[in-house]
Amino acid sequence: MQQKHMTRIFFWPLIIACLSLAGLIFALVYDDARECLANAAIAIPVLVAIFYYWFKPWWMQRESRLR
Amino acid sequence: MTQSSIRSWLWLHKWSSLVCTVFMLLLCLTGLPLIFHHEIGDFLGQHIETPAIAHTGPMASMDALVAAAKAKQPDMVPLYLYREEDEPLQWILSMAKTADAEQGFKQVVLDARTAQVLGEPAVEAGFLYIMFKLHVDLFAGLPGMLFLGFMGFLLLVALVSGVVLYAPFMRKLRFGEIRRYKGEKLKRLDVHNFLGMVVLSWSLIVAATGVINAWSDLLIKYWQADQIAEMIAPYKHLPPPDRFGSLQASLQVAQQAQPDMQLGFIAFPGTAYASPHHYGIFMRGDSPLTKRLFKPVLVDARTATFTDSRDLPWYLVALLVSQPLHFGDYGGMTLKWLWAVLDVITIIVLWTGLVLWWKKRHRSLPELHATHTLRDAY
Repeated sequence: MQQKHMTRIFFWPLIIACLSLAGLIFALVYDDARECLANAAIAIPVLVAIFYYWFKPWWMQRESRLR
Repeated sequence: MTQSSIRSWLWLHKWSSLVCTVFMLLLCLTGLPLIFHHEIGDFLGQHIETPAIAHTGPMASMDALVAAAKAKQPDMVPLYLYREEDEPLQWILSMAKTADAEQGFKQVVLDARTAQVLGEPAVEAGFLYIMFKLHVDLFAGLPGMLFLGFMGFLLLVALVSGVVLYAPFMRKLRFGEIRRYKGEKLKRLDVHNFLGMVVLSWSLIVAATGVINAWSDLLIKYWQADQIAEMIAPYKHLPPPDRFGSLQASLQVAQQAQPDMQLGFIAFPGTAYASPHHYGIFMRGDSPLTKRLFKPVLVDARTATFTDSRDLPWYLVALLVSQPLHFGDYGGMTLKWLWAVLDVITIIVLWTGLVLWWKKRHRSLPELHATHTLRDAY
């Protein structure tokens, strides 16, 4: 793979960091339906970790077997 | 980034994280049960139920509550009166031999309607107490708190240096790519980098708020010397009162002074949040954020008259806002579970980092290995 520019390296980490930070703060400020959105934003790092660590390798293995 | 600057950042990341990793592992492990301390307390049978009774009259007066607790613990003085958010019909009065005691605390749980004593849960014993003390001060008091605060600061340094090092290590990799089939070392390195980056925001917030919390005792002492001293200046040379006026009347005075706020907790004379001459009556708002921000009203404990009330200074506001962000107790059960999972991911990051260092340390040619690692990065 070609060497990447800084913005490409940090694009997804920055998005995840901003969303989870916003979630942490919004959950502190709101006590209504917006709290659910905030919790969803805080869950993003967990979902991303699960996706890349377990789901993606399993999916790729399945695809290669089907091929 | 040049090779020499990468080496400098590697050195900083290695040593800042190495020094704090064992303590951070301890904090993450002890923090895990503390997230669920209410639920674990219930499971261990430590929760005291409020009896279901038909009660239509007014709530018991504060004086009746204190008298009931004193009847149970006649040798002790009251320190703080507060209640848990999920038990609005209970008051908890903490007591000790003296107002400035640092151990030997007792709690008396009272029925807010009848002033009946519901129970006296053990405060300084049990699994949760051990977890709490290990997490807060390693059973070493203020020096332990400050030490753990410094470890938290080192974690912040490790996190920042880790972000800087993420770029050179990811130049040839996609986001989230874990090299599973190129050996354990690379797999572990990728897991460490990926998970560390994914939980970065949470780790930064929890570490920074932990550092602020480690300073809580000193911040309160500074507040006493700064604002409380100004507020009670006219009482400076007076001897402490030999008898106290009505607490219920003092509470009414505080409620008149802050009519738009509700009672948070009461600090009794001589405690850290009051003065020897005053009840510190801490009022709070009712929105999700303002219910955590208190406004103290000092009421003369002898005459039950208003003395002063001021907004908390910025450093105590920062402390109060930092507490929920550290404990994760502000969003119900969903947030508690998320906090626990993020905590476990952080444990994996710490562990993989430790193993990476350990394996590298046992290589016969560490310098050659370091060169390879840097070459891999480009």
